Amino acid sequence: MRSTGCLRARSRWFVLACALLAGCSGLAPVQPWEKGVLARPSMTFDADRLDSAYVEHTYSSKEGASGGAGVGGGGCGCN
Amino acid sequence: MATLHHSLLAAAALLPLAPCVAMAETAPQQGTLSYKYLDYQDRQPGEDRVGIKAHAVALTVPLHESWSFDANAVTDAVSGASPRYHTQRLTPLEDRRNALGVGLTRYFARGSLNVGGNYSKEADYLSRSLSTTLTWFTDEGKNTALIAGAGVTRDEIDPTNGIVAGERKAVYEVLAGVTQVLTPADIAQVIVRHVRGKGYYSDPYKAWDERPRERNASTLLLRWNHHLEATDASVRTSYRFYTDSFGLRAHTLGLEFEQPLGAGWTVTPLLRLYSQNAASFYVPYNPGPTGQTFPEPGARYYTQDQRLSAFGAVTVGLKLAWEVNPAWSIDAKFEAYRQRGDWALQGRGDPGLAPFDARSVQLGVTHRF
Repeated sequence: MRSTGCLRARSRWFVLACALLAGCSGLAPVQPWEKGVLARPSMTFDADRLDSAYVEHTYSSKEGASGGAGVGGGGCGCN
Repeated sequence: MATLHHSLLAAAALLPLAPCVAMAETAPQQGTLSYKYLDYQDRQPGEDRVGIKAHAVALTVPLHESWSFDANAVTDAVSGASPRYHTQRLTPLEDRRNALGVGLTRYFARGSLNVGGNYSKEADYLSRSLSTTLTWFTDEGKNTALIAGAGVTRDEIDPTNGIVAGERKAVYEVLAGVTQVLTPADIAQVIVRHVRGKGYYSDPYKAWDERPRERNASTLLLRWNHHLEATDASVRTSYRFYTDSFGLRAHTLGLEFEQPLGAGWTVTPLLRLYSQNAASFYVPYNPGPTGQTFPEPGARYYTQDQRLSAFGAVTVGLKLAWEVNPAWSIDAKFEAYRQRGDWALQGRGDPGLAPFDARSVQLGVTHRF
C-alpha cells in the first residue's frame, strides 16, 4: 500500500530529474565531430547486454531490490 | 532425500534481456552474435548452496536502413541446496529453465522505438512479457534524449510441492528518463521507474512465508560515463535508489574502470556496494525449543527469507576482453560477492543468519558480421 511518504519521495525524484535536465540545457552543445570518444562501446550504457542480464538477475535473486535500467525482460519469482 | 524444484531461484538466476536504454543514434551497421557462459556458486560457512550453469546467446541483425531485429535465448541448470527458513535446513534442489526473447527496433531521424517480448518456462514457473521503449532526441545535435518505456509481465506459478496451485502474478512498469551528453568526454543518464505488481509473491518452498499480494516499487537510477584522457580509460559510475511497498529501501553504488592495454586488450576492475533494510514483515532468527522461529501470533504477513533481511554487500570483480580482430572478440569476467547483516547501513542485520558468499565466472565470445 502506498504511503504518503513514498509519494512525497517520488515527487522529489521527479523534481530532481527536471532540475538536472534544466541544468544541462545551459551546457555548450557538443558537436557531432566531437563525439568520437562517446561513440565507443565502453562509453555507452549496457554495452555488453548478456553480461548486464546475468549480473542484474543474479543480484535480483539474492537481494531485495531489482531493476532500474529498462522495462520488460520477463518475470522473477525470487522475491 | 526429497529433491525440490526450486524454480523460483532458477528463474531469478537468469532472465531474458530487457530492452536497453542506451543512446543509439542510428540503426546498427553490423550484425552481432554473442555467446556467454555463466558459472555461479554461492555458499555459507561449511555449506555450498546454489550452483548455476547457464548458456546465453544474443543476436542483433540490421534490417534494411531503419530497422533492426534482436533475439536472445537462454538455458540454465540450477542445482544445490537452499534454506527452508533463515539459513537453516538446507534442502536440495535442481531445475532447468529455457527462455526466448525477441525485439524489433525502428530508427527515425530523431529517435527510435523498440517493441519486444520474452517467454520463459520451467517446471513450475511460466513468465511472459511485452515491453516498448521510445527514445527521442530533443535537439538536432542529438545531445539530449528523452526515454519512455512501458512493460507488462504475466507469470503463472505452480510449485511442485503443491503448497499452492494455479497462482498468478501481473506486473506493470513504466519508466521515464533522460540521457544527456555533457562534454565530449562525459555522458549521463537519469531514469525513474515505477512498478505495480499484483498476485502471488510468497515463496512456496520456504517455511513460514506469507507475503502481501501486492508489491509496488520505484527506482531512481543515475549513471555517468567519463572518459579519462590521461589513460584513455572509460570510468562508469552508477547509483540506484530502490523503495517498495514491502518496506524495503536499498542503495546500490557501482564503479567500473575500463582501461585499454593496447593490441585490442582491455581490463576492467569493478566494485559494487549495496545496502538494504529489512522488509517490514521479516521475522528475525529467534528459535524456540523445536529450533524453528515462529511468526508473531496473528501476523498477517511474515517471511524468514534471508534476501528480505537487512544487510550490506560488496562485489569486487575483474573483466578481461580482447578484440582479436574487427570481427571477433572474447571476454572473461570474475566476480566475488559477500553479504553480511552487520554491513547494513539502514536497520539492523539479523545476527542469526549465516554469512553469504558467492562467486561467478563469465566467458564470452562475440562475432560481428
